[in-house]
Amino acid sequence: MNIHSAELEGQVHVAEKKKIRKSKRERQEILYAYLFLMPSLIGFMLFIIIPTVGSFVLSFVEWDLLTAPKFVGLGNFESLAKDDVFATILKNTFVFSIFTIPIGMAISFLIAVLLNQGLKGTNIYRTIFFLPVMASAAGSAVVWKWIFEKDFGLLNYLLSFFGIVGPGWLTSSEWSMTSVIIMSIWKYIGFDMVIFLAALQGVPKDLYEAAEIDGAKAWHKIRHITLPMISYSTFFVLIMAIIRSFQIFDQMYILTKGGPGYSTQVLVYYIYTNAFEFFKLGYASSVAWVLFVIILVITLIQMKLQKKWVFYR
Amino acid sequence: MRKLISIALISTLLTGLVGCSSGTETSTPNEKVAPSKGDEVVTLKFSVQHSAPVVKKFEEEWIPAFEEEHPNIKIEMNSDPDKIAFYQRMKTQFATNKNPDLMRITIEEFPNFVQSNAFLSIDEFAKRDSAELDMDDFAPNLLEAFSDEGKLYILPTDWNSTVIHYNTKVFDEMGIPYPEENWTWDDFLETAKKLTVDKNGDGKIDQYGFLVTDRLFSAAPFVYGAGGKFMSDDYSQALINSSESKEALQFYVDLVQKHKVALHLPGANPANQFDAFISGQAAMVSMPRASIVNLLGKMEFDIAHNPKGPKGIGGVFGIGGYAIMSNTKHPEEAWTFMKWLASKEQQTRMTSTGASVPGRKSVATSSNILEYPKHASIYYDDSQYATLLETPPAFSEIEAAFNSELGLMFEGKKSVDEGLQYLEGKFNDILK
Repeated sequence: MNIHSAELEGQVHVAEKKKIRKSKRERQEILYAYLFLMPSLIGFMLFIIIPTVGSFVLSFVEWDLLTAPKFVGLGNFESLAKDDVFATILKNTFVFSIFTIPIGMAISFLIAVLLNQGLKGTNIYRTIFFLPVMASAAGSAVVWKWIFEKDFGLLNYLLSFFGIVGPGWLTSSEWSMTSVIIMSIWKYIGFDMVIFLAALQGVPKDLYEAAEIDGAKAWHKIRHITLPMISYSTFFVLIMAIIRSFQIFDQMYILTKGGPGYSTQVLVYYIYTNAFEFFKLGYASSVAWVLFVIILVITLIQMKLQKKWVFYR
Repeated sequence: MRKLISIALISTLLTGLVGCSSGTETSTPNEKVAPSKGDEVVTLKFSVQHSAPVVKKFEEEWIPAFEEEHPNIKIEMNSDPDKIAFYQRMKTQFATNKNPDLMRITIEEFPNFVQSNAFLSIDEFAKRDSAELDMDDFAPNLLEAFSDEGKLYILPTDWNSTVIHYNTKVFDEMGIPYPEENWTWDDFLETAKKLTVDKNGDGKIDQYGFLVTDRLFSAAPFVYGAGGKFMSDDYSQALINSSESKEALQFYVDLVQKHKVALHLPGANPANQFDAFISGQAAMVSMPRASIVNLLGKMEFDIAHNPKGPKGIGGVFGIGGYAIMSNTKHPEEAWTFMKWLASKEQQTRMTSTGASVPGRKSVATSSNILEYPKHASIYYDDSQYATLLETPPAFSEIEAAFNSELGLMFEGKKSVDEGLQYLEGKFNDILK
């Protein structure tokens, strides 16, 4: 035992010595590493860390930019709890997410499976489906605004062929959220599809061959091979989609301005109006932190649950 | 190799540093310029939020003209096309002491800035130069609008109230008489009914009598015409849930809900509004003179006073000007510029672009503003009927709440009663 530990100590000693011998060069390398990292580290500090700390501090004060900030403790959060508009907005955000995430993921998975069949022109289709991601949200929302227009919009024109008088997609509070959901799904399926496609291409072909020999049908192959084999990317897409849909803003800003009524007001839109239209920076910051906590909790739950269904190869 | 890398790195870092420091210097030129003495050239920073054509005029014609008249003052102008972004920038700059010497201001944001001591009172200057200024040329209620606790802050350069604009071609074609001088809400409703037609018989109305938006500004003339108010004079309490306001909003909402004579454009995108009016989708619309720049040359129109409500003609006006910031290092030069901006010559130039009604009576009654439309004198006449927009510091929040509720009422999601009851509580919360 003693001899053994002495031996070990010796080894450690040698290792330490080696380390010391290397260290001058190593230190220099570390220095260079930090130098190279500096631009992005500075950026990270300036644009992420400092504003985050700032908004945390702001969530405990009342500030309109013009007068001196006033400390109110948890006052902002208390008024949030009483704010009935905020309750509506939370509901809207959840409704938006509950519809956008599963439908969007199902469609993008379907497209990915179809594109993975190795048909001719796959590249072209892949590009076409990815285009909405690249198009600026502002630009495409203008086009969607025209599509959704009540009297001369494309959608209602198409519906008129079937004898349906279409609603005011963006101008009635029953349909406005649906319209925003449709546009958001269209906007993001490309991104999710590319991730699914990459994962699908990584599934070994021999698994399918083996299953075919066992007489598996197409559905069985998807259910028992494809889905488990790509579950890690499904998990990634899910997390991204949740964060994305809780942070949705552009579509509402351009399509509906949160209206009619409060029908398409969502969390980030509420942060924006409170901070930059009403200049209630403290209140807006407290909404931002509520949003952060919501996303954090959902993501933590996801991380726990993933053990049950996500397989890593 | 390593040397090369370090040289590259150091030079990048250095250029970065130099870039940064020069950036901070250019953003505060004021501090470097010593207080002006005599013929030294002074640079004034001037921030505005105007439409693109007006900004272009400022840059290419007006400011060069001013600089020629005043060789010791240079104007450095920058502009924002968007109102929200503009005030956001101004407030951030003021908070960090990097604000311009003069800025554009409208009544909605005036209380916020003035109560934060952001503006310089011009009382002393105005008293000193009273002969040259001809203060009587400004309507008293315009001057009062830009005063706070008895002190005047801004010379009003432009103001607007909403009046009824109507498509004369549609009226002529349908043989409907033009609105009369003293028309009432009932006359207005009758006219709107006559103008509302389904031209091709497909069950869809192709031409509406009137157009409504979810905006406080467009509902306010009705509220005031019925003798209602949004809140108490000291902005401490909501008065919106009164029988007068209820009558007004019921009439206004019924135009859409009950009589179906008004086209409802939710969200109030002004561009849609102009399209609907120009294309004849709506024959009448309530808008300020500042909007006619979008109509001129595209259609034939005339204007009429707002229809008379139970308590007379109602109207609401907003007002704009240019304020001197309290922390300017060159108050004397800034005052010279403000005086020039509010001068007859400059207001004439400004008004000729088809913008707002000028603050000076003499300009408003000059021949070039009365040229078109036929009853253009109504624009200035309206000042005797119009009430100043009620703007507590939290006006943007009041407006947003009102707009959302109005939208729900137009849709029939809430009755006028329910909407007003909710608004009363909401207003009181905001005003607290």
